[in-house]
Amino acid sequence: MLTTAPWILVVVTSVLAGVAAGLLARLAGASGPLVPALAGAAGFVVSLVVLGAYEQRKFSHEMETAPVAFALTDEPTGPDRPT
Amino acid sequence: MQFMTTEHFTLQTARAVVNAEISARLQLYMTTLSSSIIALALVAQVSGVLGRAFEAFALVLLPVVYFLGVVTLARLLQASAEWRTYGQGMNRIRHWYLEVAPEMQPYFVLPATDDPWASLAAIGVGSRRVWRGC
Repeated sequence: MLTTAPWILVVVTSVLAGVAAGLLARLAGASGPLVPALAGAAGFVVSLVVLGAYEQRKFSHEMETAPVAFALTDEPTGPDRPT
Repeated sequence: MQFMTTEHFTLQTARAVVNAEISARLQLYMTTLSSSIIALALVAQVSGVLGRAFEAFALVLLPVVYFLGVVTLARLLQASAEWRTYGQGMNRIRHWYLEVAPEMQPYFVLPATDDPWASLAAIGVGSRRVWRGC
């Protein structure tokens, strides 16, 4: 799933959120590299979790509500069918 | 038979259009992102790395690009759902082909079920067993 286009977008966009969070921490007066770095990492993770959860929820909902006329069990039998 | 093959072709074309839209939107977003990074680098040269002007510019630019990423993601998810629906439609038609000529089943490598997971398995996402079971 991580290789799909929406997930790539989620990761790339979350990097932006991390950079913005690090900059904000620096503007807020944090001295040294540790606090901005931690803020950047936190921004990245929060964005990743929020956008990832949104993507996953939407995907799961659509997979569950998709109308199925010919389910797997209704398939005609054939040599490829697993027993 | 002809109207079903026509429908199959229509779905195939619609799927190709959605594919193109997904690629175009991703490409547009990546271009915007790259341009923004270049712009940030230019501002950094003028204001000094991590100077006030750079920080202000970045804090205006980055949220805008982030917003663009989020709306691109939302549209991408809609387009993906559309893409899967067309795949399901083609699978239904393939099911009909097999109803008309069940002896042709060994020649079909793609699913003849419109189960959404089977449609995904056909492109390598999910269980391969589901694909083989179609």
